[in-house]
Amino acid sequence: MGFDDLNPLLHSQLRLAIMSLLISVEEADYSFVKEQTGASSGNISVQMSKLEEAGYIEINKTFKAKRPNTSYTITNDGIEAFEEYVNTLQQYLDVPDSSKKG
Amino acid sequence: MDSQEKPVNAQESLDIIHEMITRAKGNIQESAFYFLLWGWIIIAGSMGHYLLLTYSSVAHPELAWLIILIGIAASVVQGIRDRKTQGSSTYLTRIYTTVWVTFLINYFIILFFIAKINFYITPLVLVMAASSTYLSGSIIKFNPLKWGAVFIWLMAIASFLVVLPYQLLLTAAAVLIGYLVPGYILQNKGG
Repeated sequence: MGFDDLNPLLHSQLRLAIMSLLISVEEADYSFVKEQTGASSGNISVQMSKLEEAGYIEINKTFKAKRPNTSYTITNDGIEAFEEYVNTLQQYLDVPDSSKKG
Repeated sequence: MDSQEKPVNAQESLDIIHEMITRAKGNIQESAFYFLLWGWIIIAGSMGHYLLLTYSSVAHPELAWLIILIGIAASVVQGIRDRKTQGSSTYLTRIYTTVWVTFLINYFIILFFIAKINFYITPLVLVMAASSTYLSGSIIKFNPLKWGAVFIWLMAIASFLVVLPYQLLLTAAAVLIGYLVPGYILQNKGG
């Protein structure tokens, strides 16, 4: 079709949601991600690990108000991948009928 | 493929991105708390100082400004509370906080050397306040705050031209119109 392939790592509902959240903030806590995405804890952990393996995000484990706290930040590689994904997405959206296809 | 791996089409992808970015934008309205608090504190300080200076024989009418300590305490408490509940920090919040921390550092340096500048502090603080207010309005893209800053600048210029008791009245007016009015508009914007 002449289209670039969408990055499969980002082309998934939850991972895309997570990346969209992280690109908008400097840092997000686990509880914030859970609340905003509405995903289950297990789900989030699995997807975060995949994103971390790809070098798209950093997982920081610290203490906040004396409680263990996990927070996430997007990396420069993650920002680049996200931008690339959005640019590719644009190609699909520019074609009138493409949005109806899976 | 399990549910979290569910593929999405281009439009759905775009919707997810849009929804998440909107959610993450957070509540600029939360900043209104600090604006309202500090607006009232500064008005109380300047009016207290003015009233004591004009209508009483108190030796140190400027002690009315000790009310600032209440503002600092309340801001710190609220700041800690915000940090616990927020769950995310945005670049915007950090820049915004930096602007006002910078203002406070400048303010305390000037306050420390107040005797060196012949106690001529009010117009200087108003100039700084106008600049920080303008930056805040610009950062959160909120025009009423920018216009508020312009008003504070005008009051700063005016206060260079009058003596102390009137400078205090100009300060109260600057804060009322430059801070509080935009502060309440900001708060109501959030609903």
